[in-house]
Amino acid sequence: MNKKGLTVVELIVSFTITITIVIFLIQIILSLTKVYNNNSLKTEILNKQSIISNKINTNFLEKKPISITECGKNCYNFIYENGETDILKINNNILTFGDMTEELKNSEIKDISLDIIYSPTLSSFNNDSIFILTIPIKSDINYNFDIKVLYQFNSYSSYIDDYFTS
Amino acid sequence: MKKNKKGFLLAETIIVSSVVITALIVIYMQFIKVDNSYYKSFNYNNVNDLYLANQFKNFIFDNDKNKLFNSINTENLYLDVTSCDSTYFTEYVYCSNLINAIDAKKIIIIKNSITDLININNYDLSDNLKTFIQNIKSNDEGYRLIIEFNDNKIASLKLN
Repeated sequence: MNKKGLTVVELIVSFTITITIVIFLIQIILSLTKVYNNNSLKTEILNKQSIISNKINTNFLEKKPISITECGKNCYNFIYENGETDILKINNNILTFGDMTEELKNSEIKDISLDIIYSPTLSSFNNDSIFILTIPIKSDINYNFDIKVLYQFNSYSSYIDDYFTS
Repeated sequence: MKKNKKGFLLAETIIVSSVVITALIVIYMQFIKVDNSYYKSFNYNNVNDLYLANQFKNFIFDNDKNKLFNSINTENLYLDVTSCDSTYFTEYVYCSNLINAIDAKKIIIIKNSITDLININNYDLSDNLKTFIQNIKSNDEGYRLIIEFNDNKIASLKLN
């Protein structure tokens, strides 16, 4: 009968290899968990970003804003060519634009910023102004979730620039 | 009944370990694949970035787009318009302001057909942009606008 078992050297080598594999396995599981959690959160915020961006961009492109007025802190009123209006408002991390209301969880909506860039053009028929609406969205994830909406217009046929000059 | 009291040999342990390590490597490779596809879905063609790209597309269509398209031929497979060269844009100051507004790092126009882009590695483009172009699966005729933003996200629109 062969009564030979593991020698000390074999035992040590076996343990070392097993421990290395276990450590490697634990690291994979931890990275997977982290990636899963991060990506779920990213997907959730990105979905909200897309919905908000799509709604504002669609309304701007279809209805064409001609004027902006302020209606309080983080509250702006956009008046369109056809006379319709949309109110953009942020209150307690809830964003409202027209008939859309979106609450952002696991992230924070910062103050809305409005800006305008004017560049004289050679032809007075061309767009000469760019209106920039930025809604910063911050989260623990290192990723740019800010919503940026641009609207190009001709300053001769719009009163948007009045908001910035008044 | 005779019992086999022989323990594991070192060779047996190593063989088993090799099999386990191989399995782990395969799992890790799959994980990298999943992570890459997540990267693509987060950084390529976001809704917000597509709307920003659409602003530049509208600007191109409001200007002399044929002058741009005619510059892309068998010798110059893509056209870098980031500098808003006055050769292509009459309203080049407005163009620069628009590029600043959309926060673009690089704007190029390429032929839509991927077969023309085999030698993409020789182009003066970032690795990120090259990878994006290599992932475009389109053989349609026409042209394509590709914008790489300063936060390394990329958006692309057909210019048909």
